[in-house]
Amino acid sequence: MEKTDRPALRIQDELCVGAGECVRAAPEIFDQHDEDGTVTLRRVTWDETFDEDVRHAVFVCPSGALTLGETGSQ
Amino acid sequence: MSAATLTAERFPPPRPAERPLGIPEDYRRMFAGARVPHVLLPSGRTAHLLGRYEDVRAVLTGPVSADGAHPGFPMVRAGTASTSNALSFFRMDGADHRRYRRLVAADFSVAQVARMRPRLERIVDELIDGMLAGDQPADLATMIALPLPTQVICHILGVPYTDRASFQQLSDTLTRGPEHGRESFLAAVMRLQAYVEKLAVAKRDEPGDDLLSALIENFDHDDSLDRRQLAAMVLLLLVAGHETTASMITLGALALIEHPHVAEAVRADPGVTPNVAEELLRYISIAQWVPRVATEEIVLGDTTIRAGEGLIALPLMANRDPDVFANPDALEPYRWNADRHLGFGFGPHQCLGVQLARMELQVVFEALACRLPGLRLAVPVGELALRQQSAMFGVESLPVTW
Ligand code: HEM
Ligand code: SF4
Repeated sequence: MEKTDRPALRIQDELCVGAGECVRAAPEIFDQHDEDGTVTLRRVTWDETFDEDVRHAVFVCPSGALTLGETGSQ
Repeated sequence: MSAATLTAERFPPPRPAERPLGIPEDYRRMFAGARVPHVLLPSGRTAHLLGRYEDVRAVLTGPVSADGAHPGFPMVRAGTASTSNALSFFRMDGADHRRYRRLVAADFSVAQVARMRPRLERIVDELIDGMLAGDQPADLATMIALPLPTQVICHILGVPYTDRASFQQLSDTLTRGPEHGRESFLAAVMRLQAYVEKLAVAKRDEPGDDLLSALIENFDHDDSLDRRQLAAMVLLLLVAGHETTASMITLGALALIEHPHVAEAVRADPGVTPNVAEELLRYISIAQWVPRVATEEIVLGDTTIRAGEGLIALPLMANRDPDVFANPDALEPYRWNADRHLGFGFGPHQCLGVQLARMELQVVFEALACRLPGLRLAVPVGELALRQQSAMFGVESLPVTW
């Protein structure tokens, strides 16, 4: 995928506890599985207007399932 | 920590007289003296107290265990039994915790809770109608605050609301202070478990479209699940789901009464209600202690916590941390970062019911502000009976007029 200077989102769904905080923070980006409430992505790329919401989601995610990595692809 | 710094403290310290929602003076003193005060608890165990926002976040996501059976676990009250066997994944760690929690997480997802909104609005409207039709003063706790979350969690689980008297009383015994003692605590656990088991038998015969029926299905088809967890999980959801929210509604109503500008902001712009609910969760922080035991060494500034030592996170203090929340002792409807509060805890055990609780609070606070603009206390605030000794802060009753 295309390299950008925007932070890359990393998802470790094995850590997810299904709290849904990411969905609350960035409803256009995140969703939860019907089966076990764990995180899913609504889309694999997004434009810069959503970066702020994604950062917020990472901050409020309680389990450490979401982290922002080095700059790189989305 | 050296023994020299260990002080015996009243824990939890009393709230300031006349200001039930204020920070205890003892906390101000303890944290003025140390970033991580080390205290002797009424139970005889010791704990490092965490009051800084960044420390609470770091520790609750760090190398800690929630297993109450651990010898270093900072049990607060003398004579209480560990809740480890009674409350399922609340006291589990790691993969076990996630496994059992994920069996029920989807029922509390953002989407699932959004679907419940019309039902919540209807219940709140009916409860307020009921209170308005009755005598003044009325007790807001029993008229509105307790019935709302109880009806909601009963509906989700498929537990008959008509059984509420018995499980409310039992769950009260589970969550309340030392006045109950170890024997009655264990007896309450047994009775609640028996109740859930009986209900499960009925559901197996006649499954419904509810969480308990779905759970039974899971347990019946997966031998690797520990059967005892079925009753324990239902117990956890019942206990965690109603008294917490009830306390938050009652104390939230008290805060709205004491800070009229907040209810005024909601009336002027109902769109601010979600932020007001977050701000009330931050300001009130009903979770009085969140206990853990360190599983590895943790270093915070010049304090070193060794593996096996007890830790208690204090959401109330973290949520008033001036480095994160400007002017923290003010209740500000438009505070930009109110939703960063730690009132639902943090880390893997963060409240499972967080989205549900939020929705309940939003609906009820908006209705209270808009339908009861003249709400006021019927007794002096100093006369309210506070639940100081409970893991969840609360008030026994809230007599109001309107
Ligand atoms: C305003 C209302 C509520 C507040 C302030 C609240 C607060 C909390 C806090 C602070 C914790 C974390 C405890 C810890 O880490 O040791 C927690 C856990 C929990 N809460 Fe809530 N809660 C509320 C409502 C609810 C509701 C409505 C439910 C519905 C079922 C619920 C279910 C749970 C469960 C199951 C846990 C254990 C989660 C785990 O261990 O993974 N809570 N809650
Ligand atoms: S906020 Fe974190 S723990 Fe909660 S659902 Fe999203 S990824 Fe999972």
